[in-house]
Formats: sequence, C-alpha cells, structure tokens
Amino acid sequence: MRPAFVVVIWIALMGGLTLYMQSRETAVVGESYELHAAEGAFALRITTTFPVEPDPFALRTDDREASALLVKVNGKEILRRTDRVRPGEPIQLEPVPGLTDGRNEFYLEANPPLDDANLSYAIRAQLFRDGKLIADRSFWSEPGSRIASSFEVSLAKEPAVKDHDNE
Amino acid sequence: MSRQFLAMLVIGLISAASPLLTASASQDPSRNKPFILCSTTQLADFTRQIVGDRCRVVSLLGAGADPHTYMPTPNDARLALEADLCIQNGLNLEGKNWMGTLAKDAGKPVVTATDGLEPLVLDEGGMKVRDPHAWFTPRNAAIYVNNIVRAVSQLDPEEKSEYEARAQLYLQQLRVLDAWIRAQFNAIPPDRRILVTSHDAFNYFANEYGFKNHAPVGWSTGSELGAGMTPERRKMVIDSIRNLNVKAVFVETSVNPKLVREIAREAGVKIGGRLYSDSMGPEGSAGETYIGMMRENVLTILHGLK
Ligand SMILES: [Zn+2]
Repeated sequence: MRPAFVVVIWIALMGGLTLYMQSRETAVVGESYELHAAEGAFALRITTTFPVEPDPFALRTDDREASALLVKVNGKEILRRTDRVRPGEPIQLEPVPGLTDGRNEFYLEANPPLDDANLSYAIRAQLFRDGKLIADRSFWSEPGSRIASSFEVSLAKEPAVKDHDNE
Repeated sequence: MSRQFLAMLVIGLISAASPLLTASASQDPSRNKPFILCSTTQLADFTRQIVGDRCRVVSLLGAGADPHTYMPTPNDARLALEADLCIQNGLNLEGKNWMGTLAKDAGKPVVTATDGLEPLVLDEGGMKVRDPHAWFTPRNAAIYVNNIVRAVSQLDPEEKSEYEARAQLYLQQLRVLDAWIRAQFNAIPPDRRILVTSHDAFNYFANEYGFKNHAPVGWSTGSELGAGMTPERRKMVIDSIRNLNVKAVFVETSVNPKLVREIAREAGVKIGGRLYSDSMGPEGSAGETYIGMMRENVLTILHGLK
C-alpha cells in the first residue's frame, strides 16, 4: 500500500513539474491584437541639407545595392533610394503604406558624403494627412556619422495628432 | 513512511531534473562551436567582431608576423583540418598562396575577404601587381566585413540575424573611425602629408587620406633581401625625402627596420615611430584590434609629421 502511495505522489509531482517547465516557455509570449489601417490619404516628404549618397559602410548581405536613404514604418521598409539625392530636393512618398491607428514609428537612415567629416547635416521629415501637415521633424547628424533616427506619430481616428521623437 | 517518502522524493526530483541538466550542458557555448581559421590578425579581428563568442576564431599569423614570407607549420595544417571555414585576405598577400593551399589540402572551404574590392594596381619594375594591403582604409574594411558576415551566416544560418546585428554595429564603428582619421589629418598641411615607410603597404591609406607614399621596398617584403630594393629606388626615396622636406620616416612592426634606419640616417631625418602594418599588435597592446591599430598609426603619423 505504502509504496503504491509513494509512486502516486511521485507521478503527481513529476507531472506538475513537467507541465510547469513546458508552460514556462509559452507563458511569456504576449497576446496578439489586431491593427487597423489608419484612415486618410497620407504623404511623406523628406528633404535633406546634404547630398545623400550610397553608404559604403552599409551591411550588405544580399545582392541589393547599398542604400543612400532608407525609411521604415513600424519596422517595414517603405522607401529605399540607392542613387545620389541632391540637397534640398524633396522626396515625396504618397501613399504611405503600413500606417495604423495608434502609435506608429518612423525610422530614417540617410548617408552624408564621407569627405566632409567635420560637418553636421540635417534631414527633415513631414507627414501629411489629407493634405494637412500633421508631423514635422528635423534630425541632425553627428559630424562624420550617418543619420539614423526614429520618431513616433500617434494616429487617432480623428486626425488629431501628438508626436514625439526619440533620436 | 516519512523516511521512505523523502528518499523517493529526492530520487524523483533528481531524475526529473537530469534532462534539464543535460540540456543545459549541450548548450554549453564552448562545445561544438563552429571553428573559423583566419590567415591574418586583421581578418581574425573582423571575424570576432561579427561572431562574438558564437564561434572559435584563430589567426594563423601572430602579432608582428609577415604574411608575405610566412611558412605554414604542421600545427597550421592540423588547425586547417579542424576548421569549418578558412578566411584569407587574397590578392596574393599570403605569399605563394599558403592559406589557400592549407585549406585545399584539408578539404575546407576558403573565403577571400577582398572579393569584390577594386584593388590598386602597382607598377613593380614594369610588372603590374594588385596591391594586397587593402584593409588600410575603413571603407575597404567594410568590404571585408560584409564578405565575412555572408560567409559565417552561410556556415551557421541559425545565428545569421545575430551576426548581422554585430556587423551592423561594427560597420558604424568603422565609419566613425574613417571620419576621425579625416578630422585628425586635417591638422597636417597637404604638402607635408608624405609617408615614407619600410614596405609598400600604405598605398590605400595614402590615397584615401591625401598622402604621397614612398617605400624603398616594393609591395612584398619577400623581395626585401634584394630584388625589390634597387639602388635607383633607394636614391629616389632619399631624394624625395630631401626635396619634399619630409620631417620623419616610419618603421613597421612586421618588417625589419634596418633599411629604413639607414635611409633616415642618409637623408638626415628622424624615425617618426613604428606603424602597425601587415599584422596587428600583441594582446594587451593598443594595436591588438583593427580600430586600435589604425588609431595608433594615425597618432604616430601625426606626431611624426607635425
Ligand atoms: Zn605587406
């Protein structure tokens, strides 16, 4: 009787431990929730104070050319220029894919020429919704380095906007 | 009852935990790591910056060793047999293709880090040779890094995203290094930017940062004992030191300094210091990494020419 009781307890303990070990790995995965595409006609305009050039220090793991200017929205690439862009020449992207209701993060990467390593450069990003300017951000590079900055735009159903950046 | 129960409980807990213990032992990072064998110290540093502790990386050349004249040892052949991947500089830096031969004899894949790079072509007594010292600009180093990250990602695809993330950070460090070098040399007037070194290793560096480069010995130290060093060449170097009012000449860590010392004496200039050239510095020295070696070279040149 007694050994049988011990075996039952042992199975119960081991079963509990195994269940815990298995559930431990899955328990940390967050819940997924649906994202709704933001309403309205969006346009993004980018202007730089410097000639944007393909980056000789870009990570190149495929046969794609190195980017000169790169824009991502919520982690997805929406614009990639591999040619030289003249300073002051606005780059307009319309529509802007990937925008959703709620918080959206834009990521900008732009490569200034290497020769003028002592200069700082600026890039300006403007976001329009139905023709109205709803976000306007400028970023400066450290001398000699490329610009890699991100900013957040909150899109409510009503086109009321609050934006803040984290450079 | 209670003693028996406790004994069973302890045995049960140990047997339940043992698969967990063996699982963590099999994830022991020191076991079954891919092994990457590099010919030079620079290649090994680039590779380490990309793989972190995920792979074992060994450089066949030690600090201060000369890749042009290196003769592989039986131990090198044993290491090649153990390796999963071999990396060489290429462009004939490894004299008589010693790294390619080691890899081929061991039946191991070999990647050439300078693939896709536009080499400088030197005129060596009427013979056109491609200059192998391409790592001397951070811009070229970025090509090395991209070739290496592709090769290690193919070798170990599970860690690809991690290798790429490290490479991305390192490429930005190379970019900052390049900008820093330009800013430093801005302090030397263009007319004074003349670099006289032991052997012809600094052409890429000189081209990138606006220096005129003179070396009494050709691109390979293999010819140091005579062939590369002609009386005309020696005279040309001494004349240019005098005519251009050169402040200092530089010896290299991987080349016998005798010749440059003689030339300095004859031309009446000082030795500006020792530059890291074909291999980096020993562990614990300022030149033990690529960025450290480049930084120290720039500061030595600045100090010598100011
Ligand atoms: Zn050399």
